[in-house]
Amino acid sequence: MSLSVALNTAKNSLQANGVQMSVVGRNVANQGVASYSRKIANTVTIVGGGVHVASIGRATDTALYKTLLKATSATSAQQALLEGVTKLSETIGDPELEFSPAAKLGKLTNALQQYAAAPDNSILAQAALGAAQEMAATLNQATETVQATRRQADADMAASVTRINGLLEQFESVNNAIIKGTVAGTDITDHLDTRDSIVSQLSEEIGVSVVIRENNDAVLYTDGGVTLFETRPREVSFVPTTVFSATTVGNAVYVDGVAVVGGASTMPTTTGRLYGLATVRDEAAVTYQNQLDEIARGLIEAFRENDGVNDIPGMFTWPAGTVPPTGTVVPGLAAQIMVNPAIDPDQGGDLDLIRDGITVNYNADGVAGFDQRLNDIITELAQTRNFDPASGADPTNTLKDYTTSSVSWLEFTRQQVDNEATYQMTMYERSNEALMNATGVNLDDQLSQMLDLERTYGATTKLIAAVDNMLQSLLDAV
Amino acid sequence: MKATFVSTYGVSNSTRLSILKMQTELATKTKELGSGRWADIGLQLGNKTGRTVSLRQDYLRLDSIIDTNGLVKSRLDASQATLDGVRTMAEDFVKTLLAIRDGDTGPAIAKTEAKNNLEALIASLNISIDGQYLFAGINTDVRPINDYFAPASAAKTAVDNVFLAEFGFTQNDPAIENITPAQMEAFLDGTFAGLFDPASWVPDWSSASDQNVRSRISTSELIETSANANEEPLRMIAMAYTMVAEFGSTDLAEGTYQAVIDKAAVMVSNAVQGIVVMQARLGTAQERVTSATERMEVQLDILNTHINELELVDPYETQVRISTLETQLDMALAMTARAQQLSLLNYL
Repeated sequence: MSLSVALNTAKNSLQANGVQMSVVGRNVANQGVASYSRKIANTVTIVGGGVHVASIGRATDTALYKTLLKATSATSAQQALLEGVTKLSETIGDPELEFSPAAKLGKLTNALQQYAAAPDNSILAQAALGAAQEMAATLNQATETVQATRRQADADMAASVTRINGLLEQFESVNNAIIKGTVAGTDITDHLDTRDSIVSQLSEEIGVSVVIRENNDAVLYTDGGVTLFETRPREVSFVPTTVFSATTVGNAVYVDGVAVVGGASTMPTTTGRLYGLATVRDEAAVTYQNQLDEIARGLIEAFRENDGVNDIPGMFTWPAGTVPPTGTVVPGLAAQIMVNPAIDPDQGGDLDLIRDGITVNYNADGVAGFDQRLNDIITELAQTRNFDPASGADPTNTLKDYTTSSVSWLEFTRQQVDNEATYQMTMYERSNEALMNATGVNLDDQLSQMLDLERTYGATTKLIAAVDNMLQSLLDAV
Repeated sequence: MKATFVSTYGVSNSTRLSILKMQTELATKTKELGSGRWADIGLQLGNKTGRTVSLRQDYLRLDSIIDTNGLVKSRLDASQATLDGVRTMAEDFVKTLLAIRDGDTGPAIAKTEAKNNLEALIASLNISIDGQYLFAGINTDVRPINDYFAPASAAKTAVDNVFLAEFGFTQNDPAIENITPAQMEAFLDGTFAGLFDPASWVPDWSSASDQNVRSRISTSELIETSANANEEPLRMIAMAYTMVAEFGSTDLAEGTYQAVIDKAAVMVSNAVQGIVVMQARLGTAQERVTSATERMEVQLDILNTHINELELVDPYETQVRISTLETQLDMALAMTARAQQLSLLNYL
């Protein structure tokens, strides 16, 4: 009865061919989906010579996949950081626009120089007042920009946490389907693709590593080692802060009760968008704010008056009305600094006090051409003074050089972050390309497989016809 | 065993990305070529950004000092010219005094000239530029010298009073012919001279401050840049003119008259020496202002060069880069189109 065996084998072949054709169809249909991996029909020869599609597999490359996850996390961390630092550098702008605190200080010095050359000229006094007001406003606005950047980073962290929780939920249902499918032996390849894509998305937000256990069950850890998912998703929690000032400290993000970013942590996360955002919120912006506060303090110090016993704020003051101790940052001073209302005619002040001294009367004779005090201020501005060494800019310098070193600090940070972001982006693109090449679909390959299948199908049908003919001849002979 | 594999989507994706990158760079370079400066100065210079900001401030600072030096220089020039006038007038007056010493018509001429000169001196010292009185020291908004000939002027009253106190009659009284040369000399050197001591000079004559205006003529030089009406030579000239104008009368005995004239001539000659010294001092200040300005102008050029070195792009390099990018883009696009043709699909 070997003819019926041949017929049976041919039937098997047609069935297997159909399955293989459907796999080619799936591959061609999904060739433009980035996260899709190439499906392969695993055929086996069954006893008696038949053929059978035992399972559907997919092309994978675990090593490349892990590299991609790392590159994704590192890239999104750097990009979040770059975005934050770029916002901070808006306080400087193009040097040509003379927009930075350093430029405003220069402008103020020049206005005082002009005024000192003709101390009886009230137009020049007005100009000096205007320059001083601009200086104070620039520091106030810069603080606002810095704190808005922190607030934005904090809100983005909240959004990121929401996204992580959402993704973990999806992860749970897909993971369950995979375990069930694995046990039942059904085709789980599309689920595996989905799960990989969820992990990729997670890795944008937080550094993540995957461990596969029995029955394709996956466990997720953060790059710091905290469990993100094991059988069930772990809670990722964060309390956003809505109002930021220089003294505000943002909250940490907790995974499974352990702080991972934004606070003291024993298992810190060091990649992913969350990390980048926390770095902007807690480091870059805070350091820059300290520098602005030191510039404000330096201004109050340089313009101070002395009645022989105490230092009293002069042209620049703040609500506390004292001259803060030198070399120590006063958090939030840049937000509070203002021009002394006593010299502003709009607030009932007297312009001449710029020349004569505000609290202390340096111009005892009350003469209009008194230039001593103005020249003293200009000299004082050129004096070396001490700034808080923790502020990141050059601590022993003139006020002008301190402000410009703050510019240098910020732009240097931005340049470095930008270089790092570009490097990480290239890494990401290369590993993505490598992974795609390893697991993606090649149309020509699929088409040639299709030609093979077409040929096999043709040959099989010919075989069936031949067997049919042979059986027919046999029947005819009977 | 796995043969080299290429994902169709991966290939087109990476081509797309690299074309995007080239287009972004092309846009940046075109902007740089147009403006001549780096598209993003802070990103390009990094920790050198502070330097360009600082250099720009130095530039503006020097520019502003050069500007104020212009003002200082005009004040110095005007003061110098005024002192020139005062000195010339004084020298001419000495000549007149010497010429009329022994003549009969002399006294009237000398008296008138002294009166005119005193008026001219007061007007000269009250010169102002842009609302600032040049000889007022730092008290720049008050007219430094009071008008001697104004009704009830303090200076004139004081002069009349001391004369009356010394001799018991006024200087217009015919009795003055009895004053001996010795008496006259004692009076002129005594109470009359006392009126021109610094203590009486302000406030009778002058409202000026003794403190001269000081100006910052470079970032580090702070110098005096004015003369003031309280300086000794000017007081002495005023004294000599007043002496002749008030007491150089024809009614005086000849010897006494000659004593007045001699006294005035000596004082004016001494004062002229003093004015030369004042002028020399102002000249030094003028010299320093000019040289500071010249020096700062040179510094401006240097600063400008430095700023340009930091901020400007090399247009040739940029141009070359743009050409290269254009060629690359051209090739990449052509390759993409060609690669699309290379599919098994086209042969089935």
